[in-house]
Amino acid sequence: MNYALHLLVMIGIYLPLAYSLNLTVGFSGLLSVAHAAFYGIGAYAFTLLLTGAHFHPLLALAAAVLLTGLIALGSGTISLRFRGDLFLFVTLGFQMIVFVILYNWVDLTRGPYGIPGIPRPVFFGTVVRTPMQYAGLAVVMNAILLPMIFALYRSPFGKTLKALRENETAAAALGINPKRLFLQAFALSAAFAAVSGAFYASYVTYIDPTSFTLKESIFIAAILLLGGSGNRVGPLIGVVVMLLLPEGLRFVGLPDAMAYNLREIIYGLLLVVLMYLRPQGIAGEYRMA
Amino acid sequence: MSNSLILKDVGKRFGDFWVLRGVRVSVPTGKITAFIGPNGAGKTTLLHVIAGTLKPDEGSIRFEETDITGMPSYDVARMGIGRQFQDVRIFGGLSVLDNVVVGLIPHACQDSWRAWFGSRKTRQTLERHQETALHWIEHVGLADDWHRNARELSFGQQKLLSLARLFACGFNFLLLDEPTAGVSPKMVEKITGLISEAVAERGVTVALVEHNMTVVADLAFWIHFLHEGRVAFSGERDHVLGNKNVRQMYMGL
Repeated sequence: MNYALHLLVMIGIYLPLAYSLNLTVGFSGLLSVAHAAFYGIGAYAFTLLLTGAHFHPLLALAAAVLLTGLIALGSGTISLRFRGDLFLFVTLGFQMIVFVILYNWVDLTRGPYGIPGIPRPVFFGTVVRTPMQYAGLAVVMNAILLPMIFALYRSPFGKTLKALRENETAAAALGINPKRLFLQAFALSAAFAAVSGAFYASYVTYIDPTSFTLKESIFIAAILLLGGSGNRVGPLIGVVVMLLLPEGLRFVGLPDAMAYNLREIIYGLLLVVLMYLRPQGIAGEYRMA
Repeated sequence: MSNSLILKDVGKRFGDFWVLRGVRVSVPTGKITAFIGPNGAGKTTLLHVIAGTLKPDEGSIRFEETDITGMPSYDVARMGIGRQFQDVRIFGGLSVLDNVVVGLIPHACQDSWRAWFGSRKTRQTLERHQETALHWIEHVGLADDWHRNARELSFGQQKLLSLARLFACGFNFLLLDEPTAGVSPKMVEKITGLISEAVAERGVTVALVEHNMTVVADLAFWIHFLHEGRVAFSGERDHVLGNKNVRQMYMGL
């Protein structure tokens, strides 16, 4: 039971990550592999403000979201000078820089030792402790975040992003400022990831840089490539499949010694087969060129 | 006769090669002006330079008393200059309706925070845009296709859609790059009809690049003949089309 609840919490953490990255990948048509960096910046900023600066948790959360958004504005200003493959490489560089900073700025982040003992959230005098309570909190978080993200999808902003994705020159010829809108999408996307980061920190109560690596960024991007992007269904399917599939494979009785490797291989194969059969993802609207 | 657009000694260089040099032209208000000339004469580059997709290396461009030289294309568009591309560039993954609606958004609420989450007011604005969009989609004859994905349309229909987009946005100056190239004779007739209607009934000013001389003879009031990046002849339609040199250099007559 606790195991199922843990999976539910993880889905609750990844849904906002996938849906927010969808603004950049599916709506703007820009494949970014820096999402785990923003997820991590959110987690670290929240944790440090909470444990180091003794902020009220909600204030720490708000500050972490704001800080992450601002850092995304800065990094986006550079990365959005590029499109396509080059944009991808610049976000990759940013992701690696963030990891190196988290890993080596020992005075601030304790580097590889990580930060243990992150206080659990308290609501109305009750400490959120059990998996059931965390699952409840994850549901509440998603009930707040997802409608906001969906409103962005539907809004004039979302429609305009899609036009830019389809043809940037033509959209600009209609009076749309590409750089400004892409930058807004990039920063908003990062800000939402920060909320997931803060949730993760207070769920696991321990963070270290290895949770926010390039591999993690690729995992989040793969959720969108597999599930599909540019709409509301794709990311949901991606999250559910990518998080539950390895768990499902746990039960097919692979020999323990090779279970992990085999799972990775099956994973990889699935992505390859899928790109052949459905390049837009299982339920995607947009196909990365 | 007043001029909407005045280009003064405009030059554009790719590397050491001047694609345009010393271009001095004007486009009279409320009329159709055609840019003709052989391939590589610099016609499309000229449209790019006017629309802001390319920056000129020398000279100046004035649009209705404002200097728009080197302005980014989205600012040029907000001045009221609409641009159609040779390869149409519709938004393939969007519906026909949304193709037109997105063109209406920037002028209303692109830059406001409200545009992000869509308050009730933005929702109402959006609904109004949809009505406007539908009107123009119907106007160009795509009423039955408004819900279809734009990439499913035929090339001719995509050209109509790109016209609907320009009309709906209310641009009072249109730059059209070969509006009738690559479509059936019947579609050519439809498109020229829509363009002359916009000029005659709504007072739109048009500058177009076109190879089809029947269309040019049909539509143009004024013609600039470009040759090797320079304006070789300018004048009223019959004057230029009747010019012996133009006929020799361009039409091989």
